[in-house]
Amino acid sequence: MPREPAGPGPIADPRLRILALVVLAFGFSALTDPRALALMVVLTVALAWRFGLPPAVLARRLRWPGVVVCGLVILLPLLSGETVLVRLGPLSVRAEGLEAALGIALRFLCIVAAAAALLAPVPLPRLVAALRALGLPALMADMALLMLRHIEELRQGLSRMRVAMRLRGAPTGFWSGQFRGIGWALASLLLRSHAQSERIYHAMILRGHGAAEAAPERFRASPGDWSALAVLVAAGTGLLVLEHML
Amino acid sequence: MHIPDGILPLSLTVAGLAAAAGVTAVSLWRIKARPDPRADVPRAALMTAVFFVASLVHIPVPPTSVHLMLSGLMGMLLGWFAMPAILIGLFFQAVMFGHGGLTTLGVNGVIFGLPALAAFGFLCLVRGQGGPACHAVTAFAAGAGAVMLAVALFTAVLLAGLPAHLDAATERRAILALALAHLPLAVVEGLVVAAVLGFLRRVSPELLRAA
Repeated sequence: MPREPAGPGPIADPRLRILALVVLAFGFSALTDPRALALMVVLTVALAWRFGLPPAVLARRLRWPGVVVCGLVILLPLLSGETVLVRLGPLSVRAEGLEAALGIALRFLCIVAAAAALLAPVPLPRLVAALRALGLPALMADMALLMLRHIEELRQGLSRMRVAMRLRGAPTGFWSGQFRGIGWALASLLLRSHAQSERIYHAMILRGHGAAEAAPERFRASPGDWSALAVLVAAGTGLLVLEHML
Repeated sequence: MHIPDGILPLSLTVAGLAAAAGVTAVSLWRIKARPDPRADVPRAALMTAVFFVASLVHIPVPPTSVHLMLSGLMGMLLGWFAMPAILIGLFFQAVMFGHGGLTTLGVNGVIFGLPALAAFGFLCLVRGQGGPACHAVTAFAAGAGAVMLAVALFTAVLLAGLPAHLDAATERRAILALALAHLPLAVVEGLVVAAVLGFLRRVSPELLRAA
């Protein structure tokens, strides 16, 4: 049986990458003590370095959720707690809120970085196959695989239709009924893609996809993969134990 | 309305995961009870892609812009397929863009999935009643109602899970601010859902009946 293609980092098997991420992410989310949080940052930096996480990939993943987290990090020190640290005119920065905000920011950064380091190099269909091997129901795995085939097509289709609508002189403002145009564009895109989606799925079934006797996609973890997983699981659980001891 | 990683405590994320797994298990059980459980997989996959892409479509609502949530539409077009579809969409949004989170996948699944199933239940209750105007009002109510239910769940989870104490007055102000901020989104989403369903009812009613 062929070995997993070597990706960046010491774990090639995507199943073990997912398991390592689950342990680390849930472990990180339980940390509140400043010393445990500091160790979490050290562990994340080591993980990002060892798995070769490009800073641009991390920056891209911080853009969307960063808005919610930034809002909380700015508001919590001003709204929560009793101990006033600094007064800025009518506003007071409070110690308890500041501590909570720092905890949120660090946990968020470390979990996003760990997820990017472990999962970003894995091709998405391979990720779905790994999830299936870990017990994801076949129906959901099929939906995920088909969805991946539709995303780019839908995005381009919707973009083309919006440009076409604008070129035809369709109204563009909120108060001028733009929502109805978007609704109709979405509905006609759904209709157009639905027939194609059914054809693709039936072709997959005819080629043997999902048949009971079809061989499932196999994964093979090397001893090095298992060792790296053991190290990461030990590090994640070690942080949790430390949190409870401190 | 996606809750990112790092905000909620472990107990809440695990509870969210258990709740999402429970609702998904019930949904899959209902789907498997059908004569051909795989028949609607293409439609569910397509709607999952729409749910995914919708988060990239921004609609200007002065003074800012909003993106569609489409939980209500998912529920009305997919029925029991809505919950697994939403979980898949949220997982890929988290993995590809960092939108939402992996530890909060269950919580976000409940925040988006329960309103979808509520919209499905609402549609089952009023199905076949009234004319086109009544259908449009029903679709608007289900689309907008799903957004407001999701906002209520989001606010409740966020306030329960914040690792900091907020006094009662601040909590009330936060709830009011979040509800008011999402009101335009609810209106826009209700109108878009009504337009989508109105179009499908005229052009391809079998798509609506399938749910």
